[in-house]
Amino acid sequence: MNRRTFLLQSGAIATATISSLSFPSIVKAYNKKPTIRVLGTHVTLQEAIRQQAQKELGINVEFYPGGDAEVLLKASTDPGSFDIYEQWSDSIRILWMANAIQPIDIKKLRYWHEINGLSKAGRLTDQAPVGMGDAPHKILYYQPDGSLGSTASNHISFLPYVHNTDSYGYNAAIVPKGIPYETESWGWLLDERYHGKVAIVNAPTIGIFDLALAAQAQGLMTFKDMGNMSRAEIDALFEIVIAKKRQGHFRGVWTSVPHSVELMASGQVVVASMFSPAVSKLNGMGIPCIYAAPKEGYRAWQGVMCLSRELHGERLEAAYVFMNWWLSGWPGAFIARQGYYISNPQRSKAFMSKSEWDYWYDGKPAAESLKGTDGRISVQEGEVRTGGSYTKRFENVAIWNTVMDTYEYTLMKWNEFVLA
Amino acid sequence: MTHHQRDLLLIEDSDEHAELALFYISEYRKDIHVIRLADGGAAMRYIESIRHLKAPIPWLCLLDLQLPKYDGHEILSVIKSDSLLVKMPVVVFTTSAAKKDIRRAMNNHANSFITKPMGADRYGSAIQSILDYWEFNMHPSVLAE
Amino acid sequence: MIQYFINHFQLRYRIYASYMAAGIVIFAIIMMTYVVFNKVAGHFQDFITFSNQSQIDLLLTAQVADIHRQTLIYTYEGHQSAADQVTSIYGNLIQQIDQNLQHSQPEIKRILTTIKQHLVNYHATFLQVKQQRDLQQKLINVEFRDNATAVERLINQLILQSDPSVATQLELKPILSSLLLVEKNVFRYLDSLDASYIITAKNSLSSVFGSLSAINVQENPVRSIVDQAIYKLHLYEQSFTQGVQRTRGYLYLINVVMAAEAYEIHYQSKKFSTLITEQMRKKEQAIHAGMREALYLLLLFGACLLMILITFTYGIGKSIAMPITQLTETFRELTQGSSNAHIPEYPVSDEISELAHAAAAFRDKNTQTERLLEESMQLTQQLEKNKAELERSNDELEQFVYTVSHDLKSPLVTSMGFIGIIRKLADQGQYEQAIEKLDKVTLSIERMGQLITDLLELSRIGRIDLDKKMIDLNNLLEQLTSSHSEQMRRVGFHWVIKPDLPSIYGNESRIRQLFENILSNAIKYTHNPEQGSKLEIGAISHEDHWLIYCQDNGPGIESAFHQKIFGLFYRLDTKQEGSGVGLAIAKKVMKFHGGDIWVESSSGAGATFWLKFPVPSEEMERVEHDTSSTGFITDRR
Repeated sequence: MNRRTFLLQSGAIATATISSLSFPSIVKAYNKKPTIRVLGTHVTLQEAIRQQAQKELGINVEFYPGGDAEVLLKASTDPGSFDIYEQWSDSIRILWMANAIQPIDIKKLRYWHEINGLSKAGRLTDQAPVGMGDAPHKILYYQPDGSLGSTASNHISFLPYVHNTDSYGYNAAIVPKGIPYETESWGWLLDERYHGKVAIVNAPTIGIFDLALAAQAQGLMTFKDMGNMSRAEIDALFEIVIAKKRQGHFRGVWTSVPHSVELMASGQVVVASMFSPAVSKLNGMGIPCIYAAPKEGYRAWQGVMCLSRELHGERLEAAYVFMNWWLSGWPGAFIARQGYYISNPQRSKAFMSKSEWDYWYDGKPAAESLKGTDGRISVQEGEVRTGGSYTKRFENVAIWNTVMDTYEYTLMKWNEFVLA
Repeated sequence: MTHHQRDLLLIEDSDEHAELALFYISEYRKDIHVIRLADGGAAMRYIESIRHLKAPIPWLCLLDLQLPKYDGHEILSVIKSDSLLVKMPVVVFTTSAAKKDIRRAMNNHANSFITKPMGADRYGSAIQSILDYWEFNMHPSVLAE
Repeated sequence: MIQYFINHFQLRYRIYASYMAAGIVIFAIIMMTYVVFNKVAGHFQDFITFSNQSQIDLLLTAQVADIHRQTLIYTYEGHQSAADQVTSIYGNLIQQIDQNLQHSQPEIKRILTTIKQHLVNYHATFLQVKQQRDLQQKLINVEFRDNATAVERLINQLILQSDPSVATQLELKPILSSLLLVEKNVFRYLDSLDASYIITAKNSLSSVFGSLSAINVQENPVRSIVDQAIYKLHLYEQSFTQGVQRTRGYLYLINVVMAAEAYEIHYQSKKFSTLITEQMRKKEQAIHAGMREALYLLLLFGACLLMILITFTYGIGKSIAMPITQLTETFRELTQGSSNAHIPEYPVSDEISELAHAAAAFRDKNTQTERLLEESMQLTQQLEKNKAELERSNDELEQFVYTVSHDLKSPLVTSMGFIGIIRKLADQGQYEQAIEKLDKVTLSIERMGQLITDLLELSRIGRIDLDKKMIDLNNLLEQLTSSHSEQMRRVGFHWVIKPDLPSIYGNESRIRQLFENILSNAIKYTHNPEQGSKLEIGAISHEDHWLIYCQDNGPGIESAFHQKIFGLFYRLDTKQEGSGVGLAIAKKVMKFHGGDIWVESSSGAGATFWLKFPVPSEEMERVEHDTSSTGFITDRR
């Protein structure tokens, strides 16, 4: 399996941009049934889900998976090319500004009332702090002036569904094991001890926060508002990290999940920004990669499902049916087995075994070995999910993935950082 | 001329030859007293007695060579090696005319070598010549008498 | 080895072999040198390959930096030449990599493949950037301006067509300035890439939408124009938001995607560089080690081969020289006349074997010569012996003549002398005396006759009595005893013969005469009135001869006469009868029989005559046996 295959299979960041203007051709079944075209990432555009949806809903579903940047560009510039858009909350502002999506009518959402407070209020419990940046609720509701805000209304910009917390991973065979929420810190990314063996995800809207959290944890600088940095703050941050990179602190940036796995597996990297599938994969390979629970908190993300501005009629209705199906339990249980959470977990609970629920949501040790969606054992008996339960994790969110106003500027700075 | 008695030593084994010599000597010179010795052994003994002054040194010695026991050459050499007897003239008078006998006798200082002649009268004349020749030879002991 | 060569190969083949061995060794050394240099040349080739690859590496590093700079120039400045440059550099790089991919090690190949992949990705992304940028330019420069112009035109139209009522005019005028502001902010955004300008532009646009919508709330004649304006306004908004997205899109592509690809190329090329350096270092070490090893091996093999060659050549040389040296030694011995010189074994037939044969022939000649020499020496010795014998015989003859002349002359002198006396006596008339003297003459002449008889007898010995046979002395003496018993009894003489006398080989009559002479001498001269005269005869055996002794108890013989008594006509005592030939005859008889006779005695102690007879050889005894068996016995007595 060559690198190219990895790239194409990757559901992560925009790497496979080669084919961004010509979608992979999927054999269409031309029949009377309504057909919806779903544009999104590999995280949710999985064949098993599509098959299940077609089976349950009696409609045709076409998936057009691609890299983050690729699908965002596609969606924001050509609303006619898709019906449903599935991506991350940090793309909402862009799509909204580009007039690419239409507001979603809450009344048509069957399980709206079941959706928990994380998406509606930015937190699961009242005592939990709200993370910096664009917490989902801040961009959820359609405001009368056409903007997006947290004030509740009848229309929303996206349907909240899949979400998770991200952090960094480290190879416990080399890096001394830390204590979750106590000694594990984003600061490790800039720690001199791991000189030359650190990698950052090659995505400015994500990676910049990893670097910012690290710089802040190291006490190198502070931010007025990390979720909305000023150009001066960006300059200062990149000055620090570019200097570090020039000293050879970073192995580099990784551009896909397999790439991140390869870097750590080959020993080139011991501490790196990481996504949870990579950690699972490394553990499966026998590398004791620990997905850290940083004391500064996680960098969280919210999956969003949007409707194309040009979608109407029968297809619009079919799209609502598909959206409602996503919260109907089976899909939530399916993606739970991959480590992701769903916005209405209780409905999915019925589709999961108790031990599955206890492990994935309650943070308890696995009562038995658990199988992944591919049917292979992914969790050994007695294992405990790092970071604890769903609640615990989302009580520790430092920042949400966000597209800042300084997006273009950060891109140019990022270029400097990557090539430094 | 006065003839004193003179001793002549005749060393001759053959009786016949000795008789011939005696005949002619006595016929020619009555005064000569012949002392005849018949063999080498007797001659040696006599010579020894002369050397010890028990006998007078003879005037003349006629010496035959073919002798029993000691031959004439041996006797001659004894005589001529004695300081006293050396004065006595020794005439080798023999049948031999062999050169080796003559040479040997001369080497032993024989005073004369005469071969016995074979002829009816010549023997006598030979004796006469010898006696004449040595007539005036007087050695001290003879003179002292 | 040397012996093997000598035994199995001809001289010329041994010489050829040593030359061939030298040739082979030289060839082997040349081959080894060739292999070593070939190896070094191989290493050198590797080095050149590395050098080429490191050149690629340098090219990559430089050109990747260049290509990204050109990309950025194109992106921000829009120069087409920069885009062309990018494609050109890309093509060049790919070509270079492809060339090197053909002949590289797997590891280098992998890195180059990775680099190529990244480069391909990079270029593909660049093409997208270009496309996005073209679209963006088109949007901004064409659609955006067209829409802007259209909206402005419609607003102006509205201003012209609408009532010059203050309210509408007042609302329309700010719309124009707002539109201007939107346009201004959009270009500001494109200039500075600051998203806040877009927000401002969008806000301005929102106010325009609001104003226009407000106008259309009331019924008015320009409604359609307003609607048209709103529609165009939407297109206007859409064109610039799309422009923004396109901008963001290519910015993302270049700053994130392409940067990462460029960095990976950079990283991989660094890795490549490290790898090459490492491999070059290893190769260098390998070359050094290889060279050292090769030179060492070369030296070692060379030394070994030389050793073998030296040994072999020594062996060959020795195999040639040794037989020649040995043969030389042999010839030296042969030239000195040796007949038993050792001729070395030489089994092969060649020049040396010819020499060996020559040596053998030489030796045979030497043996022959030696034998001849020996024979000649024997002959010479014999000659010497014969000469001595002849001289002795001459001396004897001379002595004999001398003695005979004296002893024959003596009776003549006597006869003549007495004849002279007789004549003298007759002259004197003494006839009786004269006749008396006549007997003397007669006697003298008779003695002369006796002398002649004796001489004749003596001369016969060994001349006439040649017959020899085995004689038993016991028998012979027994006969002698009986023939003389009367005489002995008369004079009272004892004759004692010891038993076991040997047999000797000789002439019987002479032996008898010998013992007769001894016996008559004893009877004649032994006068021992006290003990009685006696002669004892016995024998003593020695290794190769018998000694017969005849011992009397007479007066003995002085030692001065022990030789003389055996002389011819020598008589110790002239008073006794005898011619003096008895012992001379005895001596001659003993000589004739290969023996000897001598006397041992001292005065007054008797005399012992020793007779030495050789022990008869078996041959003599056999001859005796043969002759006796035929009964042919000769007795000349």
